[in-house]
Amino acid sequence: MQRTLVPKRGVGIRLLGPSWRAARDKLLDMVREDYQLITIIGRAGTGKTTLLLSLEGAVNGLFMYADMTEVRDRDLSAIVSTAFADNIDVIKDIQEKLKKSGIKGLLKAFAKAGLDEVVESARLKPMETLALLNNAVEYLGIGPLIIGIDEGLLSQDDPRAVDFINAIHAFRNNMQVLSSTKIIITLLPDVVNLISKIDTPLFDVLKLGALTLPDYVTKEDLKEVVQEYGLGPSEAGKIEALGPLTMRQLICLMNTKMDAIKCGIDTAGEITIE
Amino acid sequence: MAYIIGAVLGKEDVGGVRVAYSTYTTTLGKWVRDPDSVVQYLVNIGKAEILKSGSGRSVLLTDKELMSRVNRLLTPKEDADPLTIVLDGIRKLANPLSGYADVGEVIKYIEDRLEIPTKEAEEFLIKVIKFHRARFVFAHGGSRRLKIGSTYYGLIKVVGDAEDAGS
Repeated sequence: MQRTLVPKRGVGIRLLGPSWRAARDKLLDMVREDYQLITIIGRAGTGKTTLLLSLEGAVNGLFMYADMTEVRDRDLSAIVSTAFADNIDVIKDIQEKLKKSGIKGLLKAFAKAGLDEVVESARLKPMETLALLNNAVEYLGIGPLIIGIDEGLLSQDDPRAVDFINAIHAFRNNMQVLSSTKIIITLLPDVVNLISKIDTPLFDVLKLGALTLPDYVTKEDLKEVVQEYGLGPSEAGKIEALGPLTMRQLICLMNTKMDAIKCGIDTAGEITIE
Repeated sequence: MAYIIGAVLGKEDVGGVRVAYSTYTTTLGKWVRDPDSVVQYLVNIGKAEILKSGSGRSVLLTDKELMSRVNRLLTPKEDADPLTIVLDGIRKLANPLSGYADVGEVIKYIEDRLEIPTKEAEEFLIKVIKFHRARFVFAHGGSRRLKIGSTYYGLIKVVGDAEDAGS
């Protein structure tokens, strides 16, 4: 049952709800308009990961998805090596194309390196290895390279948050070198608050390419989801009566035959300050 | 009464509010029969001191907490409804990207704006949230934790704010 709450990986993710499709259109516009550092901001359950995964197959160029939630560290080395390791087929394909093109120099060495060596190089020299991949994509004319970094789990209280912020800062500083690469990051609101407090130069750049997801589903979103799951107006009315819902809560209700408790919908009115 | 008159006539000084003895007792005399004994009583219970001031004397009203309470009574209350105060605070303090404000900072904002203690500001915020539940959305983080049902939150946002950020 729990897996129904987690988005599937792979091509063909269908976004439900006009608000979420509008968010994806905005994201695609940012990619087309050459934004290089894009953030998807939303609280837990707003669909950041689903939106990110829905880009696969929807954008021109190469899409690489890195799930940082399953990796221990959050520094630049961990992020880049995860992006390479999680997308080894993409790397292999680029290497094949480079070999066929008869490229010389550093890109030839990149093409001939074993996959383990490439991942190790991404770990030891993350920015240099990413720049090589960027140059390969540019040389082959198959860009842009879009790297989606899923970091919806990191909170301001996590000591690794500063490592992560430093890593994004490194992407910011190297945008000129990575001219065919676009980085899309998912962030929780509290990490955004933390960035605004400890790294103003980064915050100023992020502000230009940020997308905030709706906190709650609208009536139109609800209507579409309910129709998609084949429920009638009476069920829709019951769902509306539960109060504002996140997209995850709504999908959960669909998958659990309207079990509000399982879906974490708190109807208790008790509010205290701890 | 003695402190209200002090608050109106006196000036802030290091140890409290200071007012010329004769001015103070003359005004106080309009309300009580023997103002000098009232001053003496205040001195005896540690709420005032009599100080030499040039050739004359001053009364120093020393209970700062009582003086702030009197000042609050005398200051006209802000004519704004509670929801507006909370919405103003959140919007003023919200992160421009996410639209969320730190609950701890919102409480401080209410404290300063209404000149009330922290506890009262917390209760004020809770009442507004309870009454207008659908106007707010919460997220984890922040410097103070709000427990709503069984979940803890520290960031608060006005529904609909900041969803067009970046456009």
